[in-house]
Amino acid sequence: MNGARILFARELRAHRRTFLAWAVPVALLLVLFCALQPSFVASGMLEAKLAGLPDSMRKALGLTLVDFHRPPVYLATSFMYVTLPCGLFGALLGANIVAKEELLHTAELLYAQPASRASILVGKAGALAVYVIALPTVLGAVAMITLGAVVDAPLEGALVAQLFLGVAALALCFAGAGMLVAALVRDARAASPIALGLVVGTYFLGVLSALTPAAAPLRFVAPHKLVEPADIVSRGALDPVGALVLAAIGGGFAALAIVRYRRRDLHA
Amino acid sequence: MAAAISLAGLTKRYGEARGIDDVSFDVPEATIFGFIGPNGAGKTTTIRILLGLIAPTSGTARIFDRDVTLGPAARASTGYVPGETDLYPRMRARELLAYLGSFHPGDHAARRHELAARFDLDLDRRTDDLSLGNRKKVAIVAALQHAPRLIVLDEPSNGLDPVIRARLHETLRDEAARGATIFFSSHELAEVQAVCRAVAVLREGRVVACGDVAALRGREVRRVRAIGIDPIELAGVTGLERDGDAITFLYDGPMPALLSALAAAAPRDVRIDEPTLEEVFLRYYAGTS
Repeated sequence: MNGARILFARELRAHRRTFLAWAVPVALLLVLFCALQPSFVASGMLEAKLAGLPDSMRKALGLTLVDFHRPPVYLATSFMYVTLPCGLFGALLGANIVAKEELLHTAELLYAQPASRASILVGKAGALAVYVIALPTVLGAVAMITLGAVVDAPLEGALVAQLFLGVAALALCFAGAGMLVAALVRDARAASPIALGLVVGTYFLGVLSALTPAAAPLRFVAPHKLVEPADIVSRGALDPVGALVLAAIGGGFAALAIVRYRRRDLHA
Repeated sequence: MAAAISLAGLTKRYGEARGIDDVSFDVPEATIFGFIGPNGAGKTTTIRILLGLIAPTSGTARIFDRDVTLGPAARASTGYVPGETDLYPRMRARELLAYLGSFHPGDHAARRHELAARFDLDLDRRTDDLSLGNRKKVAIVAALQHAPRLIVLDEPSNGLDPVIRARLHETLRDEAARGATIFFSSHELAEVQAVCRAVAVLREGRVVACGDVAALRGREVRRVRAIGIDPIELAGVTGLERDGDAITFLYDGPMPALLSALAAAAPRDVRIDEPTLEEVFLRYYAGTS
């Protein structure tokens, strides 16, 4: 597996800037949101408005529990600002890390080397997993540091950490899906838009599934629903089965991508 | 002599479209072998099958007796210069070459520097800033740095100036002298004639001629120039051109028939030569074989 080792190191280096380009703005947004917690608690206005929303809408938007005093609950009310970027990052990086050799016309340079395609993709998947887990980890640390500095109430760090653990599982799922999309499409340029559509599309299907009973089955095609922040804070813990299922789906997609990519004709 | 490359019945179809059809030939070890044909003949398709980038529809391709479809082992002793030399962005040439060299066991730094010096390649330049010629030099050094037993080059001279092109030819001869096999795809026939000892000619996906360059040039076909006669009508005459009172044509047929026809026409002067590889090649292109 020399190829896997070489590609792992290479892709870690190659995507440092991409990682920073995602991590820095989302972290700044998170810092701003966390820093505003004392103001929202003091005014109570937003809390009251959210609590006044119809039940179906609160359920659809993941606002079943509204208590801005508790840091994890406060975070959970606007957690889509973490969930969506992390999901998008995973899916886009997953698609790009596979498709880029054909996009950059470097497939002939790389795949003519004495390394199997499987080992090359294993190395790429390893680097992808590192970044996909690193993003929510960094964001979780930023949230905890900021909230720890500004809130009066207990931080409930374990619960906050579990919110971000759920995001990591979700991002792994979408990263695998992104790899699979790139391995399946004939035109490498189509991989990223499709991967992006998957994340946004399934998110809105998840929102729809909570609006009416008739749409409820849609939750089964909405990975977000397995690690919904409102459920985590309501239950007081992340559902480990849901998170494991997401990570396993991501791993399964990545494995399918490798199997498919081994057999396909590469376009220079 | 053992075959470095062995192709047998190699066929690739893209749906209904033709790729290559029943391509078969062997490339003996330690030779410089030309692979010629017009654009779209299937040269790159053949090379890409050889390197495992695309799968054949049928037939087999072997490198040093290893089936290329059965994993990367066949590529372990291969260096490849692609026709299109796009490189990774935001890297220095030195970094890129070290990265590509790391797939092959051993330390290639000394040879890399020697080759870079030979081709006047500045290893500290960023890949984004390299001209086509310099990108091609990077690809050449990448293909040669691990001293492979087989070097596959797809149109390697594109973008190279005449001096560097001559150095490439010299380097390929040196590589062949140390025992490497060179598989050289090109549509520049003068170059193939100057460098290669044997060739395969591909036309519309099929091998139409294969063999020793000297033998191919001399085989059957002769170039005839006769002064002071009208065009002659004789089976086997192709590519007839008139220049003043001289006619030139290629002749592929029995020599007594040609000599009789010429004698009957009573030219002032006649010259019969071996055609250049280009003339032979164009004859195959024209579909008159």
